[in-house]
Amino acid sequence: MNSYPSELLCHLYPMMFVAGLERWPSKAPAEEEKDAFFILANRLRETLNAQRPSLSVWNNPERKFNIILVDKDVRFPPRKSPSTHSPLSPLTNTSPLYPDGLIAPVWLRKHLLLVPSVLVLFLRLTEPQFPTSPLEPTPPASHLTQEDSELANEIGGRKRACADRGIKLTVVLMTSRRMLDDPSLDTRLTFIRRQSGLDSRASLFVLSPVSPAELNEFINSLQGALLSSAIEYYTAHSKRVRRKRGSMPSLSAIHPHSAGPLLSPAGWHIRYEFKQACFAELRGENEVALKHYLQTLHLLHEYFTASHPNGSFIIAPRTKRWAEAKVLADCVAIKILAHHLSPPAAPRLTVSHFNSHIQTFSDFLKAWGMDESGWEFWSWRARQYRILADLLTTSPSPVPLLLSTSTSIPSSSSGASRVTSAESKQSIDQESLESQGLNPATQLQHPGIYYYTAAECTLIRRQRFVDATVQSGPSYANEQKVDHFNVALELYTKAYDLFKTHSAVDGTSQSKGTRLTFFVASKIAEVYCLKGENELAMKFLSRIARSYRSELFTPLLRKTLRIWLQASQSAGDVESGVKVLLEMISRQQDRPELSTEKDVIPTGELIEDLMVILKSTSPSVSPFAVDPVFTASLFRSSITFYHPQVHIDGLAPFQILIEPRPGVDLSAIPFESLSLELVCSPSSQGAQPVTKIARIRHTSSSADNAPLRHVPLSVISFEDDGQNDFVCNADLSFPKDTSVLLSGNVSSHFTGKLEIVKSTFTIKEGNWTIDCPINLSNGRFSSRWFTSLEPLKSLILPQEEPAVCAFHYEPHSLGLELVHEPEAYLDEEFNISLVVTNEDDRDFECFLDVLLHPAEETADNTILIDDQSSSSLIQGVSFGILRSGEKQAKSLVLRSSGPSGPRLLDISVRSQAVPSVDTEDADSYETLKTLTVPTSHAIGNVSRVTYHRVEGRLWSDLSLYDPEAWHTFCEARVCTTLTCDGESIEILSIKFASTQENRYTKAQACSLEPEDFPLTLMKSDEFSIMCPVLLSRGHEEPSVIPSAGTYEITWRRTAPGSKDSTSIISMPLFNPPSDNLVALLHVPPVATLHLPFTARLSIQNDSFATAELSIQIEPSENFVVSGLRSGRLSTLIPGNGTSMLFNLIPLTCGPSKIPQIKVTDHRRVNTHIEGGDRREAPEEDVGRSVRVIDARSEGRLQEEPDEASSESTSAENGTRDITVLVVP
Amino acid sequence: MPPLFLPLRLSAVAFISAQNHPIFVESFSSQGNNIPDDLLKAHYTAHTSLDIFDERVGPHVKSTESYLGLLYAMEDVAVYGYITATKVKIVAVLVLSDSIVRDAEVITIFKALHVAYQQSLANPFLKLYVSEAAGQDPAQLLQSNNGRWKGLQKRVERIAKAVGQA
Repeated sequence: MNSYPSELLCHLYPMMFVAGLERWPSKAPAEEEKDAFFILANRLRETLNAQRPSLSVWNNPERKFNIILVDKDVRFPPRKSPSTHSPLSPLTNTSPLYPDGLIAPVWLRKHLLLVPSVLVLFLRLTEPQFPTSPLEPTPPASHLTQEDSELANEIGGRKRACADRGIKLTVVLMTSRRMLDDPSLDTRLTFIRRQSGLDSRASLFVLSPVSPAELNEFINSLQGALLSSAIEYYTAHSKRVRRKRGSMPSLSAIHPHSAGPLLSPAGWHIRYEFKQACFAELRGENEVALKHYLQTLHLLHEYFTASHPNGSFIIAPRTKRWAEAKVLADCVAIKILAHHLSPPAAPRLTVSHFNSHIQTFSDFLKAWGMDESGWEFWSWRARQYRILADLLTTSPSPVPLLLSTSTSIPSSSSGASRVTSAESKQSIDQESLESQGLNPATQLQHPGIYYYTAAECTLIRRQRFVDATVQSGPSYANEQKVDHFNVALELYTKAYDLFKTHSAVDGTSQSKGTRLTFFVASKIAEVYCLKGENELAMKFLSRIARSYRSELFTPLLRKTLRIWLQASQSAGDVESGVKVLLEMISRQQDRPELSTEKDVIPTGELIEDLMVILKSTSPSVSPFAVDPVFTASLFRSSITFYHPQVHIDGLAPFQILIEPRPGVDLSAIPFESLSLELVCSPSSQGAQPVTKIARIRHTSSSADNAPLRHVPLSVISFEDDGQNDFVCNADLSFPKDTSVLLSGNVSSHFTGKLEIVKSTFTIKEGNWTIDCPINLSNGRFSSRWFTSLEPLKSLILPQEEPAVCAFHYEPHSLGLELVHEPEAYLDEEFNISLVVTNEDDRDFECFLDVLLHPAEETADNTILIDDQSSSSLIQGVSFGILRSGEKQAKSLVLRSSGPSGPRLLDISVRSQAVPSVDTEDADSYETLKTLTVPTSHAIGNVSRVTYHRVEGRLWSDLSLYDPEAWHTFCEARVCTTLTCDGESIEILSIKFASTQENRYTKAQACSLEPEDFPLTLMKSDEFSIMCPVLLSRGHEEPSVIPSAGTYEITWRRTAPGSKDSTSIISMPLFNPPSDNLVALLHVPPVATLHLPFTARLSIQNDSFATAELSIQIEPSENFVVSGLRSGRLSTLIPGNGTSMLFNLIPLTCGPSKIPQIKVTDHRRVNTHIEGGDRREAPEEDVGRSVRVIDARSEGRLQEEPDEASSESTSAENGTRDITVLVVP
Repeated sequence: MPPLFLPLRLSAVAFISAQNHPIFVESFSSQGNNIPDDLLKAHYTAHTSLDIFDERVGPHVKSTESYLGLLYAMEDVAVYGYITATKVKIVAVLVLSDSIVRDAEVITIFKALHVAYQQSLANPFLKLYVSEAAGQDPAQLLQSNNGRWKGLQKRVERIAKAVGQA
């Protein structure tokens, strides 16, 4: 931006002159410092100086004025007379613009520095001699009148001078605080104002010495009050310009005889439009200013394209006026950019304005004969991009950019295209389009990208300059002075720094967000290289290469290497040249699918270059070691151990395949030897790894030209502790598409991990001995093992780490035998016999570990060995030393309870060879076995409970209401059936134990007899126990009644030597069914023909409603019935029962049905009818029949919904199914 | 006023693995004389766009979108990004023209490229002779299969032809 006049670029603020704050010479300096007014003036100067005119392009919304401190008697530039033109007008002979200039920066300077819109004058108000004591009389104010009128005269003079130019004058009278309270002050001020002719509005202020904070407040309010006057001032100027523009056609008439070509009307339009823009900006009307600036630029475009009838441009290229106009156009364009970027920023408009400016002027430049083939085009373009980037980096408010984390990504809501008020007009139409996508050309991007583009343009500019055919003229001479490389470097560096800060702010890891910087760095390196600063270039390149290498972007790496090679050649750095050449050779065939033929330099040429260097120069150190990264991919090689593990003293066979990249001929490289570094790290702690070098020397053998040459190596042994290197000979030349297979064996007498850590080819030529480490890891390929060379056959080995082989001791041969019954029963002590046999020829000390896997939470399992017991792990049970062939046994007991299911045991025998060596590398081994023990119940049990009604309950019995009293309401008969689930068991005893302190149950009896036992049960045999229990509900009436007791069963397996076990079976919980209204009919099972017997019908009302009952007996052929045949019974209240007797005489033999007895409850039940109304059931309702149950078989099972319904259906049948066997 | 929509022109395509290794980079140019430079430029573009991929799908960004939109525009190209569920990044380089690029169109191109990649990766012979670890990284897989990844090239070229080459 510095290449343009700063006046044309800076943001304009109204101008304010402040006078009267200079030093007062009347007092001595020492006194001055104590003087409050001196301090006040100093502070005012400091504060106001902060608002000196700035040349910043940005609008600071907090700033209202540009302020300049001037002398009290400041003079303004002479005012032009109405008849003449201003000294800066193109119509004035002495003007720099005469006769056809557009506008000069000096015109703006006038409004920036010379002519204010407001003048603020600071003056002292004379104060009376205030009495030091209240007793002294106040001096009359009359003697001050003289001084006040002098002051008013001074102000009046100033006022007139200002009024001439329309400048607002404001006076600030400084006086003491005491004076402010003086009653005469108002009168004096009115006098001064009247006398001097000051305006009534915002033209007279009084200021006393105040604190800095209050002072700032005063200055702010002063500026606020004066702003409207300033705006008026500039509006007046604006109006004058508009007036002049309106009367423009007559302009030519004013100077008809003027010599030379005059400024065209189009030029005058531009001049006036620009002035309008400036005045609008001075008024703070930024949107209006922007509109005028845009119009100015538009007019300038027309001005540039306008041509004479003969086809030549009105404004001829490469003239002074043309250059001025071009500068003006660029400056206006920059002002527009700044306006667009000021808050509220309009990024899209910014970019589209920038693009259109670039596009339009590119076209102009072409028309002016400065097209892309010349440097001027690129110089101008670079400058524009640089300015945009500068604007973006210096912008005081953040601008939404595309390349920024604050940008939300996906399409429709793209954060980069934030719509602001400035854009809103256009954006209404755009909005629907925006939802579909965005225009990438109008996205405001990271300034680094613009700096980068500017740098690229600069490099093209340089190229064009170098290639220029016409090498004379002033512009060529000017261009010669430019250091293009430095300019490009500066721009690239700016881009680099910006990207770097961006990634530092954003990136979390080092590798993140640095690729853009690497990209720019590679450009910087290229420039350094071109500039001849090769050392610096190489420094950059080595870092860049590292990144491209690690991310496998080989074409980029190759490009970097090429530049590096050039740099090293130019710098004469042979060592780095050798390194880079070696890497270039190794990378030539890397990713051929990602490169084209042109991208690749033939390997032969590279090797030739290398040989030339090697033959003609010598290194600083010998042997010259190359960093592995440079030569790692010279060969594609792999190492494979056939066995992942080998016993010590055994042999570990290995194969190493070394092949150059496909299609690469390395025969011209004189490989002198290949050394392999084998390292065996011993397993014992603290022991140092042992290294062994295997060196293969090159011996040429012309006969062997097979594609795969086999080099057998004999046994490489670690037994001599790596003292001597292993040496052999082989042909190490690599013509195109040939490879070498090394095969051999390794042996070691100690345990450890064997690896081939390093393999290095040594190249010897001239004075050079170069060590090139190559990569031996299998990397991307699965490990192959060649089984035959003629024909070539190979296996793919399944090893995960084929390049590693472990030496270890031979495993111990220990037999572990587990002897036990096939199945364990719950609650028994299950015996497992562990027998360990030493089948080895070594002696071992053995220890036993047993782990019981955790089971379900309810299970409670325990293991016991000797005197140790645990629910999970028993460790280190010693077997002692087992000599070869010896056998030892231990007994493990598993006790399990809870649910049945398998129990899992891990049994491990740790063995250690004796005599044991007291190191980490002890010959120890572990024999493991997992045992699953199926566990089930030995005795299964099922309990069946029937509930029987108990008669004779009366709810009127008061004892019923005693909570402690026992009251049987039901009898439960529990039948427990034990089943033998195991093979065969012997029950030794069963004991019934009733639950202590049970208020709900009373066991009546138990069918167990001591003489039943011992009892042997075979599989599926059953044994039942009967136990009637009386139930009482007590006061709490629990829904479920607790169990009445338990059976303790002592049993054992029938096998000899079995131990007794005890299982406990608990009686079930009681859940008796509830009753309603029920009738029980008691009849004997057998009756004799013609002999009467008594039947008793008892009705029990267990419901919560009173029952109104009637009874009816149907006549029957089988029986003669005496008793109530049909009639009503007394009302039965809840909880009460009644009974009645019938005499029956059987008439027929055989099973005879009892005459049907129907019991009906007539109580009316309120029924719910649709609509929710309660109505009584109709009169003719026959009532609900009551179940009549045979008392002989009235036992019920536990209440379940299905059973209740089945019982009710049987009740409807009345007594139809109750039969009595009648015998003669 | 420039035309609102112009047909898209594809300048280059790049597939980059989750480990940020290039799988496949191809540039399309109507003038055949400049191919190596174009391809190199496509490589630079692919590599630098990884920065913006990192930024947009980093650990602090919670987005399940595959399409990342415009990554950046530099000189005469606009770079668009797409990331698959397996973190394979696809870069499409479009020729910059002053018109709106419809996201739907770019997404269609990306989906076609994604399918082309999937179809090529489904080739069972790719993993022949390749170690287990290398099989996880498509870039490594490719490196081990010199020239065997012809299918992807053909498919991508067909897509580029359909879109309209630069």
